[in-house]
Amino acid sequence: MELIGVILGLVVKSVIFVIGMFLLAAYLTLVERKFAGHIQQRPGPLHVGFHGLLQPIADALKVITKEDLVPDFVDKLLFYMASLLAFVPAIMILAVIPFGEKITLFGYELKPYITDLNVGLILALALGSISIYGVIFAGWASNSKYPMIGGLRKAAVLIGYEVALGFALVGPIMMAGSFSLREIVEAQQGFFGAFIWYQPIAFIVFLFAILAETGRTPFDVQEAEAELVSGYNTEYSGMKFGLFPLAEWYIATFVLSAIAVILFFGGWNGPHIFGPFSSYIWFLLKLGIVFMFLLWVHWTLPRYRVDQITELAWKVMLPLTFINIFLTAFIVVIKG
Amino acid sequence: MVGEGYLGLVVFGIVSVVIGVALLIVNRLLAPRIPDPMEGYPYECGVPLYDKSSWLSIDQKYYLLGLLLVLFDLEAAFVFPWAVVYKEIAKINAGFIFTEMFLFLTILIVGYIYAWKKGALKWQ
Repeated sequence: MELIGVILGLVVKSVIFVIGMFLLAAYLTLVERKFAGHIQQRPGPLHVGFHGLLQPIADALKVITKEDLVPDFVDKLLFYMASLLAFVPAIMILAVIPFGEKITLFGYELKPYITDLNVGLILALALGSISIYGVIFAGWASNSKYPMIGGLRKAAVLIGYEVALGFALVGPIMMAGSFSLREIVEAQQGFFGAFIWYQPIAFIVFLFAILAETGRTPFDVQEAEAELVSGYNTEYSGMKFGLFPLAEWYIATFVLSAIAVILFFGGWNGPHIFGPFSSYIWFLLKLGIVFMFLLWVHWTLPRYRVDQITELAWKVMLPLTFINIFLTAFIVVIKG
Repeated sequence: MVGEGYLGLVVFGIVSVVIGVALLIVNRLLAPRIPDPMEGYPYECGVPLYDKSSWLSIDQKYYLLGLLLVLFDLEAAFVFPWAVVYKEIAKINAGFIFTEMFLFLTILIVGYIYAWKKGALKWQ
């Protein structure tokens, strides 16, 4: 009986988290479009609602009422599975992200995360990589030339950034002595306790990896709308299509910025100036800044070529992470 | 309870799969279906396709990089446990844990330099 109660509680909490993430991702599309618009000196969405505030809802309605096309020559199972495979792992990273401290409200103890696993960071890394397979499968299953090229390019990018990402995370792990995201945050107390002061190299490599993993502009070779029509999702339509940008550009970028905040910017630590919700506000504030920084990079820089990306990853980023591991080993010994 | 944390993860995974599938099904139910003779045709420039399938053997240029990825990711998996206990053991015997791992990393880096010199990191 007790187990059923626990599971029921978890289901309710999970539904709240998933739906919340959906609504947030929908509105992140508006944030991105407005931001991109103003970067390019145009107003962005303007007509649906006040300054485009209802635009995400209109987009959602449109994408869900579009004809569900399946081209003739596709591998049907993989074709449908690919959009789920991109979406589910990306949103599952959310389960291990702590958004703040535990708070007690009306006698209930609320935990702002689904679970706190002692392998949280490894899990996030693994799920992030699995979600890339969704893109590669989509490219292959479409059985059309442009998606195929897009999928293969994404595979090449994956081969590039994956190793550098793995070794870059070693630095923060050494400083904190744990994989649990909650314990990593608790290891960074005070303004100068944040790992960014000790791990600038790891942060640069991590930033590179986020941009490559979420397919944002310097590394968006899998879409490359000037070359590949729309890349891996050319043959997709309706909600099958909708899940891809939602997962890659919004959910994955959001959760990976959250992980960047946790690893390098001290998570929810900050002065208690906002009352009981102080930790949440600090976390979301930092998260927002990192997210906007990624958008800024996306809408400013030109695109790399795919061979340049792999060479950058293997010849610049990987040696940097080795240097970082050496430096961190000394820093940890000196700091005690 | 042992494994309670993983229960949460499994439940969350199931919920997100269910919501994802539900979205696809809702799309299927709501969307109009207007058949068109050419709608199942792959996206191309508009002329009939020369070959209908794109599942051909393609000469992809990163075979060696793929092999190196498998190797180096495995090595990263060996480095992670060391990184977790480093802080604790460095308090007791810093020299021991430092040299032990850096012997391993040195061998790794020698292999990396070898691969670089052989041209495996180049886009072939």
